[in-house]
Amino acid sequence: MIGDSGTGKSSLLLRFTDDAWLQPEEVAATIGVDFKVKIIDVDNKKYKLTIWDTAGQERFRTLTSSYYRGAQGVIMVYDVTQRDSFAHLETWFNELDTYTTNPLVVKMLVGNKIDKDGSNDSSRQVSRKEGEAFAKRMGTLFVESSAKSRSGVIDAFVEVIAETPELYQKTAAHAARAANTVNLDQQNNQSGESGGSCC
Amino acid sequence: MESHNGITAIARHAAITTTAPITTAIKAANAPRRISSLAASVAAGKLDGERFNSTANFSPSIRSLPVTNIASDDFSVLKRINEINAELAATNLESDRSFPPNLGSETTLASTESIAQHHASATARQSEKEIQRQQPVSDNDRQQITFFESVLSDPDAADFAKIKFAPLVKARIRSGSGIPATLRRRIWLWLAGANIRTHAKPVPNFTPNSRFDKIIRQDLGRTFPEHPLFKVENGAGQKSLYNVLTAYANYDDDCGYCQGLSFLIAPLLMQDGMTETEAFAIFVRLMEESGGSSAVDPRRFALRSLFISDMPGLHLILHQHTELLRIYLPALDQSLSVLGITPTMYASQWFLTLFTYSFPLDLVFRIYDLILSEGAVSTLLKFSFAILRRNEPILLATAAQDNGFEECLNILRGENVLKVYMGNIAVLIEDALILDSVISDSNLETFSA
Repeated sequence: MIGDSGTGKSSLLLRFTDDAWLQPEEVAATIGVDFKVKIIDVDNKKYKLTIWDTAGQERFRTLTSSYYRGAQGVIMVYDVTQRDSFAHLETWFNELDTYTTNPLVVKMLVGNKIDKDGSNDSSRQVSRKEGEAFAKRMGTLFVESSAKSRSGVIDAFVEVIAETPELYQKTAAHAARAANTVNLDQQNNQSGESGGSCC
Repeated sequence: MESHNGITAIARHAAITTTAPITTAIKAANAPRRISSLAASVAAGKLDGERFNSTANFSPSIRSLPVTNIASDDFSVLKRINEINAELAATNLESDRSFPPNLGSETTLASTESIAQHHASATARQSEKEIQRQQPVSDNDRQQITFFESVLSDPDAADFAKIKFAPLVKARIRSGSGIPATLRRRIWLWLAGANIRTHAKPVPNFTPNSRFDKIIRQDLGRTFPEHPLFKVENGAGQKSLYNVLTAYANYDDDCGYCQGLSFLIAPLLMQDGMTETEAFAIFVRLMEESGGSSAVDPRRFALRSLFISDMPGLHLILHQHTELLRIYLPALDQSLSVLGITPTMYASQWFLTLFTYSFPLDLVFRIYDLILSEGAVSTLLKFSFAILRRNEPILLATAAQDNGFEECLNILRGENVLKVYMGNIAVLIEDALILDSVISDSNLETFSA
């Protein structure tokens, strides 16, 4: 998971893996790289995801760049109430192109914090249309989400799985074992689950 | 009836006596950013007395040090230097170690035991130690306070970097519960040379920094979010944190603000009476590239290189940690490498926050004591290596399991890595401090490639 600092990457991940929400004042900033594993059912098939949650500040990229290597999916997050975080997406795309080694990496663009839309102090600065148009131009998937209200969160991750060819199609063809050979981090997956890695 | 009451009274008295250090320990330990299992058990009333007692009472090397010879009334630091240094030299600091420094040939704690057995026998060993080490804590604390007060009031002790009895001060900081909490602010300032620096002291400029203001503000509420000093939005703690971070960003334009720095400054501001200017002065000293060159003051801090663009200092210290594992813990190094686990995944957070991110504060303050008296990088590596070494048996066993990758990472990340110490941080400090001969600034230079 990548994107500017404070866009809610860790909160999205926590909502996805633990269905939990912490008030903003309860959450410590991510320093370096965080990590979670989630097993999820998609179309009656179990997938095991290893998800890396990276610190958003630019200088951490020397640290986080190695996590792009071999990633099967990337979730890029911006904050719909922070124009800057949307404007910086180009930089994040460059970053991804530079470091990813997987030409088939699935990219998902997520506009987070839509629950704040309409509230007084922090209204939306990036419309859904703008987000969609940008995603289309960059050839990525697109979802708007709220880690707080759960909206769109599971979709963001499930879509990535569904669009990951070496995972989904092969597993659909009952070729789960083959999928395991492209699994990352040299994990030995012995439970018949398909593995995937996201950052 | 009377005698019955008498017994009750005695029993009550005994209970109060035993819980007194527990309260102290809770105060010190019970302020992590996330609700820790520790805090949760306190909240639930399931207080493990032995665990807290052990944290408060346990004094690994106090007996080895010549503390009892110092009386408050006739104390004169300079008069006693030679005598005490001689005693120090004669004292076998390596005695009574359950974890010998002989890294190459030792038998590991649990290599032939199951993890459960390891834990059980470790507990038994611990209890024995507790009994052996029963001694009046208040005496130790009083002696530490007397010592450090004498140091602070000694006109010849103006500059820690130049005093002859620096080895004695270092030994005192290593012993018992380290610098007394009530004196920490003053001793830290003294160790950092932050109150007496001869060169022009940087005057903090609290004007908002245009480049970093937004991200600094954003992180204020995300730094120790559960600590009473920092949890209130725009409260005193957050304001001070904002000011010190801003002053530093203004002072050091190349570094500016980097995430992690707020976690590094917060423990300074937690000390009673610490002003923003004082915290800033200590912080500047910790970040400075200079130091370590003089034979008089071999301490090196230079934390700045961990935080500037491209983070060269962080990559170097991660490399040094990796090399230490490869050379001294080859089996563990091999197992983790096979799983694809690199130190970046667990140790970058340790180094970037000086272990403040998820470790209990009483431990964090001890680490700060040691960093300020002995240097930053070598101290950080002693702790990171000691932690890995103590966790080696459980990590090797876990690595062999089906989900070795994530289970090992779960052990290595956050507070879980301290479970093996069962709340007894003194053992961790002891583990780290016996590594002097292995991890020193000069040894580390060989890993600088």
